[in-house]
Amino acid sequence: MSIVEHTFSLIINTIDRAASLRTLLNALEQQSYPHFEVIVVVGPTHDDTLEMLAEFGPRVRVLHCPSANLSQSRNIGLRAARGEIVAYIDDDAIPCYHWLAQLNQLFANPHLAGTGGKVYRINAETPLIQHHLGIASGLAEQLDARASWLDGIVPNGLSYQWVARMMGTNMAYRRRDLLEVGGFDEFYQWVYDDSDIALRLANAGKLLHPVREAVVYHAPASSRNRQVNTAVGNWWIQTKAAVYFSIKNGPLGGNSWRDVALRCLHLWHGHLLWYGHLRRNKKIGIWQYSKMSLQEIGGVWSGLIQGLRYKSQQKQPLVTYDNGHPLIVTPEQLMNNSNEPIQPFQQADSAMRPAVDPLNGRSPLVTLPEPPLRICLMSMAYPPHQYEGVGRLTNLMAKGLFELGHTVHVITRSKQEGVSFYDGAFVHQVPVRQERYIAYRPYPRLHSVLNYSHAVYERVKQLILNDGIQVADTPLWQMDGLVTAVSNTIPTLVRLVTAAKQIADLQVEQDTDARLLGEMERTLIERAHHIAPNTRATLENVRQAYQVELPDGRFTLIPYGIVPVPEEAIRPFARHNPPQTFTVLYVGRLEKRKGILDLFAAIPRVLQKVPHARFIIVGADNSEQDGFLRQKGVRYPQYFQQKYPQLTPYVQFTGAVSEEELQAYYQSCDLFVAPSLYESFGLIYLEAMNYAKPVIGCRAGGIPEVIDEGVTGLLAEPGTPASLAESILTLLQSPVKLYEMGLAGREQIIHRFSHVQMARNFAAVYRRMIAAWERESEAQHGL
Amino acid sequence: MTQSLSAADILRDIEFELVQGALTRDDLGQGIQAVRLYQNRLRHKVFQSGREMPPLRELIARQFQLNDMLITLLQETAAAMQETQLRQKRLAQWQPASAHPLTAAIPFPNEDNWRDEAELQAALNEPLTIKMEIRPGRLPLIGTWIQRLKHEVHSLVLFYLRKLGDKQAAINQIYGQWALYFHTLHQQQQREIHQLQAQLAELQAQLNQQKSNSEQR
Repeated sequence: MSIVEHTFSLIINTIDRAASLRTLLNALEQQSYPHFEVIVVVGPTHDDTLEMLAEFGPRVRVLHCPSANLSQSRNIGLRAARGEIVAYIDDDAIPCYHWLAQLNQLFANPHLAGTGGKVYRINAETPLIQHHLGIASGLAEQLDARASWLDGIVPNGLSYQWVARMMGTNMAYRRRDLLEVGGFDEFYQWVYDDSDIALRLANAGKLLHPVREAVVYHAPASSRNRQVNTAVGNWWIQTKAAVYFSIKNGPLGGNSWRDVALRCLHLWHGHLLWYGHLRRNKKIGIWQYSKMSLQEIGGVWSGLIQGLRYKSQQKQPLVTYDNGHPLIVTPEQLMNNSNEPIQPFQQADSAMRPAVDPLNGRSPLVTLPEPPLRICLMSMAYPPHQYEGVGRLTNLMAKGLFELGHTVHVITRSKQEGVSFYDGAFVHQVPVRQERYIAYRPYPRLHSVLNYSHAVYERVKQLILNDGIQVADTPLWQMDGLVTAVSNTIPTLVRLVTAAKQIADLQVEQDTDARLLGEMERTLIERAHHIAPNTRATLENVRQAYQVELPDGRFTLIPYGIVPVPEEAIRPFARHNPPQTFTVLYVGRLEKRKGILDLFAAIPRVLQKVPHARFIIVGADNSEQDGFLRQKGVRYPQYFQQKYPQLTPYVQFTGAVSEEELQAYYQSCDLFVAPSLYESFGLIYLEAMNYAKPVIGCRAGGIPEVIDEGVTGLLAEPGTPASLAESILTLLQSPVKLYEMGLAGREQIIHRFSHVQMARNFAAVYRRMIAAWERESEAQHGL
Repeated sequence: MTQSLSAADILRDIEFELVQGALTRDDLGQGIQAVRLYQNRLRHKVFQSGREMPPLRELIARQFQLNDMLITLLQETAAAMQETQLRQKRLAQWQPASAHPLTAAIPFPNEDNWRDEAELQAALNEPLTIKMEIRPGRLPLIGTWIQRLKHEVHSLVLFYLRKLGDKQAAINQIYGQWALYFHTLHQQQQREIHQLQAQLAELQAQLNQQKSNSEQR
C-alpha cells in the first residue's frame, strides 16, 4: 500500500479555554506531518480566546458556533473543512509528534472511514489510560476494550450490537464519509457524539479502525459542564444523551424496546445512586444533591421525547447556515464547495519552536539554533513517587533539557501503565510482568533486570513510533536500557555510576546472580553508542572493574548539576562581622563508608581549639545495615554520646529529615563536611555549594573533581581524623576563607554545576550521537 | 548449568526475545480491517431501516463468509509464527559448539503437558446443544394453554438453533484440528532443533579435534 499524503483539517472546538488552546496550537507547530490546516470553532466565549487566536493570523481559521453545543460546533468545522481528512482534538489535549503522520498512513487504506488512537490522561496526580481501542453499543454502553478484538473478548453488556469507537479528543474521519452520514447529531451537546457517529458509520457499512498508536495526551480542564477533579458537573446532560442514544440506536441493533427501557432506567438509577454516594461522602451539599437529582428527571424526559421524535423522523439532515438561517445541503454540494487548497498551519520556523508544557502551557524562553531534540531518559525510580539518587539526577536532567527547549520523555517503573507530565517531561510509567526470560528465575535480580529492561524497550519502540524520539539515555545502575542497547534500534547513551561489580566486591557478594549482573553491565557498556561518566574516577573504576576498553572518542565526561537556588535564599554572613558560633553540617547516612567515625574522632580536636563551633549531623542511622550495631551493640548517635559525653551539647543528631528541612540546614550552616571514603560524584557537596557554603570532603573517588581544593573547599585524607580536623580548623579559624570559598562554590554552581549546564553538555553529546547514527543509516542504505 | 552461564548466553536470549517481538502486526492489522469492513457492510445490509430482514439462509451464508475470513487470518498468523520458529532455528545455528545451556534446561515438550488430545477431540465432537427452559405459567385456566403454546414456539426456535449449532460445531472442529496440527508441528520442530544442535556440537568437536591435530603436527 503506497503512502498518499492526504490533506488534513484539524478541527478544535472551544469555549473559554484560551490558555489550553494556546498550548495546543503551540504543540501543533511541532507535528512531523505538515499538510494540515487548523480550524478553531469558538462557542459563546467570555475570555480572550479571540484575541489569542488573532495572534496566529491567517494560519488559523476561526469560526463561530452560536451555542454551547459540541456536535453543532463539530459540524460547523466539518462543513468548512477543506482537507480530505478531518481530525478532531480537544482544546485541552496535545497530540504526539507523529500523530498526523500515523493517521495519514492509516488512511492509505481507501476503505477506512475513521480511526483514532490511544488517549492518556496526563495529570501528575492521576495519570491513566483514558481511551484505548474503545467500543460502543447501541444501548449507550462505552467500553474500553484494552485488547484486540481478535482476543475474542466479547463485552458483557445488554446490547447485541457493538462497534469500534474513537474518543472525541482523538478521532479522524474521511470527510466524504462523515458528510455522507450527515455529520454529527446535534442533539448531543456534550457526550456520546463520538459513539453515535461510530455506530452510524458502521451501520452505513463503513470501516472504523481504532489503533494503539497515534497517541493524544489529555489534560482535562474545567468547562461549563464540569469542574475537573471534582464531582460537580451537569451530569444530567449525560443521562439525556444516553437515553436519546439508546432509543435512537438500540432497536436498530436488534435490541428489544424492553432492553432499551431497562437500559434507560439503569442509567437514571445509576446516576441517582451516584449522587447519593457523593452526598454521603460530603462531596456535594444538600442543595447540589437536590438540584442534580431534579435535573436528572428533566434529562430523562428530554432524551425520551427527542429520541421518540427522532424515531419518527429517521433522517439526519445536514444543515448549513446562511446569515443564521439553516439551509439543508447535500454532501456533494459541500464536497464541491470545499475544493480550495488548505492554508497550512506550520511555518518555516515551526520546527525550531521549543517544547511546550502541556499542563501550564509554558515554553522555555530560548532561541534555538537547531531544531529541538526528542530525548528518552530512563530511570527505574523517578520523582515525585520515588526520590533516590538516579531518579533525582534524571529529574534534574529532564528539567534542564526542557529549559533548553527539548522534548523529554522519561520511562520509569510503575504498577500501572500511564503517562503524566512532571517537571518538564512526559513520564511514561511502565508496568513489568515477569513473564519473559523464565530460565533466569533462579537469579531474581537478573531476571527482574531483564524483564524490566525488555518492558522499557517495548515502550521505547512505541515512543519512536509515536513521539519520534531520537536518542535514549540509560543509567548503568539497574540497566534500564540493556535490551534497547542490544536491539540497536536507537542510539543509546549510558550514564556511568558506581558499577554493580564494585558494589558486589565491596559487599563480598560472590553469587552467580551478582556475577551475571556484572557481566551484563559490561555488555551494556560495550553495546552503548556513547558513555557519559560523571567523573574521571568513575570512568577509571568501571574500566578497572570490567577490564573494558573505553577510548577517548567513546566517552564524554559530564559532571552532574543541580538547580541553583534563588539569590535571596543565600545567606552568607557579613564578611567582616563573622558569627559568634560556627555551625558545621554533615549530611548523609550514618555509616562507615560515609566516614562518620572519622568525623566523630575529629570533633573533639576541633572543639578543643574552636569551642564555639556546633555540629549538626543530618541523616538516618544505618548502623544495622553496615554491621556497626552488631559489632558495638549501639547505634552511631549513642556511640558518640557514650564516648564523648561532655561534647553532647555541641553535637545535634537530627535523623532523617524532609527535603524542606534539609534545605534549611544547608542554608543556615557555615561549613559543610562529608568525609566519605568513596563517592563516585557527591551531589551533597553541590547542594551545600548552592547555598554559598565552603565544603570539606576526602581525596577519594570523584570528590576531588567536585571540590576545587583551596577555591571552593578543602580535601582531607580519607579515613584520617587528624587530617579532617585540620581541614575543619583551617576554615573555622579563618572566617574570610569561609566566606570567600562559599561564594566561589556558588559561582561554580552557576557556571559549571547547574542542571542547565549539565543538560547542555548532554544535549551536545546527543546531537553528535544522532548525527553519527544518521550517517551510519545512510551508509547502510547506500550499500 | 550455573557454571556455564555467561553474558553471551543472556545476550542470545535477549536477541531471541527481540526476534519474537519483531513479528509485524501490519499484515494482521490489514486482515482485521478487512473483516471489520465486511462485517459493517453486512450490518448495514441487515439492519438498514425500512428494509426487510434477509432470509436466514443468506445470514448463515454470510456468517460462513466471516468465518472463512477469520480462518484466513488464523492461517496468516500461523504462517508468521512458523517464520518466527524458522528464525529461532537460524538463531540456534549461530550458537557455539556447546549446546545452549538454557535451551537444554527447558524441559522437552512432554505429551502430558499438552491437554489430552483425546479429551480435546471428544470436546470437539460434542454437539452444541441447548436445553429448553420454560418457566411454568401461573395463570389460572389459560396457564396450561399458554404453557403448551410456549413449548411449541420454543421447539421451533430450538430446531433452527440446533441446526446452526451443528454447523458451528463443524467449524469448531476445523479450528481444533488446526490447533492440534500446529501442536504436533511444534513438537516435531522442537525435536529437529535438538537434533540439529547435537549434530552441530558433534561437528564442532570434530573440527576442534582436527585443529588440535594439525597444530600438534
